[in-house]
Order: sequence, then structure tokens, then C-alpha cells
Amino acid sequence: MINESDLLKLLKSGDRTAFAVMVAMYQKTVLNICYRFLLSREDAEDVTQEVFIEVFHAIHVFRADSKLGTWIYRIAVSKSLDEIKKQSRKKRISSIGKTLGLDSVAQLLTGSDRPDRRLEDQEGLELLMKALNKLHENQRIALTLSKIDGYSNAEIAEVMQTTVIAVESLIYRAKQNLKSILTH
Amino acid sequence: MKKGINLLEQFDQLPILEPSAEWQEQLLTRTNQTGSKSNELLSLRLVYIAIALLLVVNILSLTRSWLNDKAQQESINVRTLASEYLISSNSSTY
Repeated sequence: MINESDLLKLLKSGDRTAFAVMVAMYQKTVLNICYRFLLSREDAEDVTQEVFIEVFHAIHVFRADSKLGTWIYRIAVSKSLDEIKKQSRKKRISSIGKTLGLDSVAQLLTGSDRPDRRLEDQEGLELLMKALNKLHENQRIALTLSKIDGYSNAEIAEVMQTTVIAVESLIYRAKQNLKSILTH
Repeated sequence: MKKGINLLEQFDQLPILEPSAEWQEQLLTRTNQTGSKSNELLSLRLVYIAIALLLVVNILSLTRSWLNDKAQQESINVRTLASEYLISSNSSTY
């Protein structure tokens, strides 16, 4: 098993094999982080690819202030949040399209004609997504990361660049808020 | 109330996804593509920088010649004024 500093050196020199190793090491966690934010396998796969492409291009500016994994997970969170914002923008435009009677444009923008999204567009996930969108961004990040298997509050604190106590409080408040949003 | 709790449970029980081999292949293809794209972008950037430099040099030379013209014009004006003054002072002396 290659150690992180050697892997970093190889990555910075543009070594493709090192890149493949790095992808193999982090792909599962990144994919699941994105999935928990986006609640759609297809979107999560797309965003995960964006994450690794960004890592590939930005690796030379990574100064190893944090662990490589933490940096990659931070990119995953930020890309997922960007995707959520992009999707809500598209939804807003599509609802304007619908109001104007431009249904085909609306469908094209939301991608609702894609048969592979049928399962993920279930009412439940849609409702959950809406409720999560109502949470404060930090609460959402903390709660979502806490749902990743084996991810500790200390690791979440590293990704969010905050303290463990703050993470615990964010998760607690997120759960309370989510409960109250979903039950009203 | 129950629906909300069910949704929370659904969030807790989201499946753990495994990346597919097809997805990995696609990623490697995309990074290769972006690699060649970034080379193209780099040469395009160099062309833009060269054009910008040419523009800056042109603007500088234009400004320089305009300033020179202005200075020359001012010195002509001063000389004209001076000679007019000399002529008028000479004529008043005689």
C-alpha cells in the first residue's frame, strides 16, 4: 500500500497510475457523499466524476494542510451543493416554462423524461430533498456526512473546518429541524 | 407525522453505492480528454496573452507619440510667445 506523501508526489507529477490508485481509494466514499446530498444515483455519479476531474487539475495547488481524503471530500461537498443549486435554478426556470405553456422546455431542463430517474423521483425522496433544502447549509452538510457509513464527527469537523462540538450541535439541530419540517 | 418519520428512516437507510467499472472507465476517458483540452486551453491562453501584450505595446507607443507631440506643441507655443514678446519689447525700445 502506497503512503499518502508518495501518492501525492506521483499525483503532482501527473502520473496516471497514481490517479487511478487515488480514484480507487476514494471513489466509494465520494460517490456516497454525493448520493446522500443529491438522492439520485445518476447525479451522484456525474458529480463524483466532476470531483475527480477537479482533483486531477487542482492537485498541484493542494498544499497538504489537511489529509488528501479530507480535501477530496470537501470538494465533493462543495460540488454537490453546487449541483443542488443548479437543479433548483433549473426547477425555477422550468416552472416558469410550465406557466408559459412550454412543457417540453420544462421537461428538458428538469430531465424528467429520463426513464432511469423514475425510481429516484419517488415522492418520498422528493419530499426529503425539499426538507433538506430548507435546512441551513452547515446543518445539512453535517447531517448528510453523518449518514456516511463509518464517518466520525471528528472527520466531519475536519471536512467542515470546525470543531467536533460544533458538528455535534449542527447534527442535533439539523435532526430537530428536519423532524419538524417533515412532520408539519 | 408517520410519513415524516418514514422519510427520516429512508434517509438513514439509503443504500451504499458501489461505483461501476463502466463509470471508472468513463472517468479515465474524461480525464484524458480534459488533459488534451487543457493543453489546447494553454495554447489559446498564450495566444490571448500575446495579443494583449501587442495591444499594450501599441497603446504605450501611441501614448508616447501623443505626449511627444504635445510637448513639441507646447515648446513651439512657448517659443512663439517668447519671440512675440521679444519683438514687442524691441519695437517699444526703438
